[in-house]
Amino acid sequence: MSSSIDDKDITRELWQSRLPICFVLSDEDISKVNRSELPEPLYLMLARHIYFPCIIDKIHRYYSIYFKENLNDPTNNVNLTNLWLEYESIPLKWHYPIGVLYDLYASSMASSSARLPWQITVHLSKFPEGELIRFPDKDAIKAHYMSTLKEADALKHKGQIIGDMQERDHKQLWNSLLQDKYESFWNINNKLMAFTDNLQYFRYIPFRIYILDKPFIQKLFSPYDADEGKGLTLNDLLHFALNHEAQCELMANEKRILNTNIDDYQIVTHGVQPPLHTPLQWLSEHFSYPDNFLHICLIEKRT
Amino acid sequence: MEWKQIIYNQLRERNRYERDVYAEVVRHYNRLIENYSIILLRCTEQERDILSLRQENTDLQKNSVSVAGLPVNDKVKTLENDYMKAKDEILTLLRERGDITKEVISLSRIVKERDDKLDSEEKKNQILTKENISLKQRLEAAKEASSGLQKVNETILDEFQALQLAYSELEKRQQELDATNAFLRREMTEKVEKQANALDAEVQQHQRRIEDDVKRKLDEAKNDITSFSTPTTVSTFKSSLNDGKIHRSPAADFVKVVVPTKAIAKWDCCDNELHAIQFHPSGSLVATGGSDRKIHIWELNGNLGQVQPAYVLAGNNSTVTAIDFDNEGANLILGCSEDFACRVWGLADQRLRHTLTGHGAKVFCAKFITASLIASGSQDRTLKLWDLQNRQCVRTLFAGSKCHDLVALDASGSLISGHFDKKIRFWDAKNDSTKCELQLQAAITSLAINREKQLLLACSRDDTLKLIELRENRVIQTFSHDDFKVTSDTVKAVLSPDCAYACAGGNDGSVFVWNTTTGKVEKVLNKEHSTIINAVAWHPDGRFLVSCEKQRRAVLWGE
Repeated sequence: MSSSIDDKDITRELWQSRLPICFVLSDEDISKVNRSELPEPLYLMLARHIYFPCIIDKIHRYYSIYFKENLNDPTNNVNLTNLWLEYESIPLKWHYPIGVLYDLYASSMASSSARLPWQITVHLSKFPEGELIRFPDKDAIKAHYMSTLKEADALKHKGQIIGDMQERDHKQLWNSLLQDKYESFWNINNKLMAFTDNLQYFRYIPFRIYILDKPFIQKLFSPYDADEGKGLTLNDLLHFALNHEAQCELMANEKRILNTNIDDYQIVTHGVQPPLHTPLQWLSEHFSYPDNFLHICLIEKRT
Repeated sequence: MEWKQIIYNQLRERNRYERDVYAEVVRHYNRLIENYSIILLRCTEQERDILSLRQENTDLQKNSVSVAGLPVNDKVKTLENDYMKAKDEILTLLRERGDITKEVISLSRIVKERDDKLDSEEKKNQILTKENISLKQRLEAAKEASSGLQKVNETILDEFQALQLAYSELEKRQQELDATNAFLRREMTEKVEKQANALDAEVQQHQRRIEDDVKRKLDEAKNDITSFSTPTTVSTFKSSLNDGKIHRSPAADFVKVVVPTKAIAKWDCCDNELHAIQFHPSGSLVATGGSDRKIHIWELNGNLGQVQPAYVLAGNNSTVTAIDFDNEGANLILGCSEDFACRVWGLADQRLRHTLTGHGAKVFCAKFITASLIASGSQDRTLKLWDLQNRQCVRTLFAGSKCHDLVALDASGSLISGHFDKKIRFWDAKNDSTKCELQLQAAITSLAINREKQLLLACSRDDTLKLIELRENRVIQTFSHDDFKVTSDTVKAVLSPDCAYACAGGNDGSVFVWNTTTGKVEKVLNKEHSTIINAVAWHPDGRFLVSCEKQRRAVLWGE
């Protein structure tokens, strides 16, 4: 079809991602509504690369109308601090980007019953203490974002670039993320995508591989094979990561060992399945999430 | 890079599937929800309002029910009372309102007046400020002018002081000069006095010397000569010596005058008439002048008795009437002629020195007073004094009659002149008028004065010679002869250098010599001349006599 595609087009397309999400109040909470009208479902178009706590204010505002009297009552269980989100009985971790959660749990590849808009249930009571930490305020989620960013830079440049950046650049990153400002974000992010130490690639690629029911896999992996003098691909990364993880499980005498056969999985990131021979360096530069990590979901193919 | 292409396509597909389909719907849905919530709010509010109104209504109904129980009269009365009260209140309020409006009107009027006053005051203020500004400007101008004047004043003061200083300086200097002037004057008077004294002493000394000399010579003379009437000559000499006048030619003091007896030489001077003849003071030259307009100079060798022509002086434009030599050794010869001018030649170089013009008619006579002062008398009835240094006529004396001859009395310019109107005039050196006049019987043709300036010989047309004594201006002698006739206006008569003899030529060619003391004719020299003798001259030594006649012959007479 086309001529050369600019990397900027791809990053722009990534930035303009939106997922239609429908927040529905849980049944037991509905029964607590002391008004004649029941709250309608809340529909929002959310970007894949932000976090749920970013829009928690909206959810608060929406449901507080319906629970005005109850909110002031301390004995009541219905409480905004008890707010948690759930999809098909999976409590959603708030520190994952929305896109990752969707790809892992709700995409068409993951779930047979998946359909858009993504229907999330809002709970205001019965907080699952064992599985989740309560939703944080804006500062906490910003701190989480910044620490992830620093971790990514540490892997890429030994932390030199993020260390040289000023506080206002960090603020600009987070604010442009909240306010959905592509130019403003990539102005600063470009600095983080630069090379140091006279290398033409990152020192290590920051990535996390998500598999269902397992914690995410994160390894040290260089994008350049010095011996053979060539850049490595996604395929190489996955091979290495899965095998390494399987070995670790073996050593730890885990009961269920990871399936290391790549063909059994669908490799999804950002909702697309990039070809396995895509250069890893390029992926890290242009296909990372705003926290500079490659979040790759491996979904077992249904037979 | 087909992986890029694949990725890109997947992304586009994803976005379309996930976003594009639902974006609009979600937006619209959210808007509807908002509107719905707003409406809900309003609804609840209105319900609340309704409830409250209903509550009020029921309350009112309750109230009205309770009110309806009272008797009617009381109700009416209370109502009426309330009504009256309300009416009164209304009236008072209206009255108050009226008062207030009146106050408002008056106050607004006052305000207007105040505003008007304020306006007028402001206008006055503006005018005054303008005046103020103009006055300030004038003040500034005046200040500038005054400062300018002050400066001028200062400069003038400075100048004045400077002038004062200069003036005091000049005064001082003047005083100094006055002092020196007085001092110098004193010195000068002293010197003049000294000089005068010295001169007096010198003169006395001179006189004494002369006396001694004379005495000496008299003693000598006593021994040789017998024909001299020595007592009289000595007495006349003595008397003349005691005058104290300065002699003209001190060198030739004592002369030995001899009455000539015979003609020694005779010669023809020129082709025309001879009018004047004169001896050079040294005695070696004779000058003749006549109507050939030239002056001939002849050398005289006295010992040999020869006369030779020396040179000729030309320059006159007409007949030469008189000749004079200067006595002060300047070697000048003066000739006056009928061309109204006198001329002065130098004898050494025979060069015409001066031409003195100014007379209006023939010049008959001219004499040297000093080497630089000449007196001339002319037919135009004036006498003129000429200064040779300036070559100007310094004085003109109006005589009133033709002047035939003149003699100089002294170096200051005193003259005696003889005129056609039979008068001899004595002129003072200081003023231009005659000091004295002497009347004779006939026109005076010539004058001669002796060396001491005591005796004046005048020849007049009445055929006589008169000897006048000058101290008393009195004729002391008259000389005449039967054959002596004066037929011309310019016949010259001379005195001998010692004044012992007087000589004149007659019209028949004979020369007469009278003795001045006796008055008798001493000698008659004739047979040489044939025509009228115009002029005679005595040699300064006294040994010779020369005469010239009209017919160009000059004769030298001697012993």
